[in-house]
Amino acid sequence: MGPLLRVEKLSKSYHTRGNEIKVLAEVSFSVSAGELLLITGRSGVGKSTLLGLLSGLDRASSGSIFFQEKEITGLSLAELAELRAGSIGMIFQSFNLIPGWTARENVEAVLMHRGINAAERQKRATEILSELGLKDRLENLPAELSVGQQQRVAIARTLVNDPVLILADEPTGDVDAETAAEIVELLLPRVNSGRAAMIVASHGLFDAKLASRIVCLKDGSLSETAQ
Amino acid sequence: MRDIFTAAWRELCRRKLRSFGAVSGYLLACAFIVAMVLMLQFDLQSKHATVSYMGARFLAYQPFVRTADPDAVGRPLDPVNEGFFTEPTVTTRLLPRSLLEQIAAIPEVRAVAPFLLYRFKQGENGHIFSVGAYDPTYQNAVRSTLVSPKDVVSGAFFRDGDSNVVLVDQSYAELWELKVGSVVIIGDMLYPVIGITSSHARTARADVYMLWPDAVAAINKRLGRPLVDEANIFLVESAGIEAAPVAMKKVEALLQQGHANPVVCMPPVVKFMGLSHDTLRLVLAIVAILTILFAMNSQWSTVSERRHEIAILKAIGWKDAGIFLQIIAESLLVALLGSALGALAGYVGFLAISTSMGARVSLAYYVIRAPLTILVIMLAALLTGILAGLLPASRAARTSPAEVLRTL
Repeated sequence: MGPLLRVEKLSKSYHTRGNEIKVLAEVSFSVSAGELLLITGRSGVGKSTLLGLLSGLDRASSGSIFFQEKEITGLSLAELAELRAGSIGMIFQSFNLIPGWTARENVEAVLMHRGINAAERQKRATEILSELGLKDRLENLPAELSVGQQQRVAIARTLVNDPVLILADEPTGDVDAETAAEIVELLLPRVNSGRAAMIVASHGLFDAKLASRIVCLKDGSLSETAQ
Repeated sequence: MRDIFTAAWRELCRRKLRSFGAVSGYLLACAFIVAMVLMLQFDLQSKHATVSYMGARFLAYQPFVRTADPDAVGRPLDPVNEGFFTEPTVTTRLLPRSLLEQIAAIPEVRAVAPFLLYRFKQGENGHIFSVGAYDPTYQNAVRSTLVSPKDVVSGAFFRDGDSNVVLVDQSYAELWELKVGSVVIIGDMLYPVIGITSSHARTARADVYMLWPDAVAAINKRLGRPLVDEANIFLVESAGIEAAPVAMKKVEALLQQGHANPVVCMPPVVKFMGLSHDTLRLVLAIVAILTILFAMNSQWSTVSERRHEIAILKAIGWKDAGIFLQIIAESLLVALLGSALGALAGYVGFLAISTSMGARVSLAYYVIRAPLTILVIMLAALLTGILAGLLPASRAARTSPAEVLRTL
């Protein structure tokens, strides 16, 4: 069985005022289910850009991304959205919860427009939030939750559609060490059981010991780092 | 689809102030448009009724030009104060009653009646008043153009066998404090008043109405020569408002034969309608356009405020179409709520205004046509909601999640 995700010669450039800024230059790597790939590198080096390309939020300048052996770089926006909704879960550094929606509604949002009825959506959102210890916080708005609780809602939102690929952008960047450990603890079982692969972009605060492999992004290129 | 509307409703409830503002905008615009359109329809109906009534009837006569034919006026003994005339103060010729058959033969004419309208001066220092000759033979034309039993406000109308009795117009009766049973002096005779009439906006009117033979007898005493089967006015009812202009032209042409002066007829009132309605329609169009712009601006602002949220939704898998429909649904709900409340307010306003005007239209208008009109306006408001949501929804759908999330 091949890798879950395979990236070949992926490049991304931005054009600003006539200047070309090359963020990624022919980056290649692969990740299999059960693996946790840690991408390190200084802030602004292009880690978030790489995750954006992997999730289909952004378009690559060149190169290919194969997800479950299928090239996704040429997919339409709707197909990429479908992929994110069904197979890829994303965790952002700043949680990116919708401020006006309750914890349950934030989690349910992933299941909307997918032909899942309201009762089923509510049931699944409630279950996952309860699993993550937020049973009593279902109807709270993000602002009424602690930072740790907000991150757990974000994780619940990521896991509710049972993704096979989890992309985490600085998941422990805005939280204290204890909360960071808690987050990892919540995500790892899914990876360790082989149900999913996880790619974490972090500039150094993530516990490197947890990673299967570590790569460093520097000057647009990836290099494997020994653990 | 239900999910989309549920989510849209939830969004509107969350942004209470903005939603209230947007709904209020629709409410005010819709209330204004509903009230104005209903008033417009109401006014048109009333006007059409009035025009059908007034414009389908006219007086045919020939103005008298003294220098052209001094003998044709009927030679009153006191030509300075008395004479045959029509309102307001046009001296008229006497015309042979034989024209009656020719006028009646015109296809566009439904009924015609001869009429004598003579201005009397009562006594040396007396007042001037008009006497109209009522000929019951031509009731069809007379009752719609001059006076009818329905116009009696007190006393009774002329009955078969009546003679030497008069009806008095209400304004004239009030001026001289005349009541049923009073007597009026016409010439050298006393005539008891049997009824007071109020004929409002009839085509022709007189201060005092007499039966034709009595009027001829009274007028003959004031003329140098007696009337010879003549009338100075023909009361004509055309076959409907549309036929009136043709009927008038044909009657005018008929009266021109053998006579020097043209007939002066009141042109149909309908020709003068339209300016105020056109203005109102323009105002309504401006309000409708402003409503679209207001709603669009409101939705645009909402989308701008929610760029972050929209980017998150797209990042977690919402498709462009889902985002687009969500914004359209919100716009539609605002339009639906605002237009429903506005339509209700507009209808209540219309009822209040139309009732306070003391005017009434048919019950069918209130229960069928007005609600149908409101329904059409509401559908137009919903279309406005969709139109107003198109640009913001398209902008929302095009939001680049990577770009927005990167800039946060």
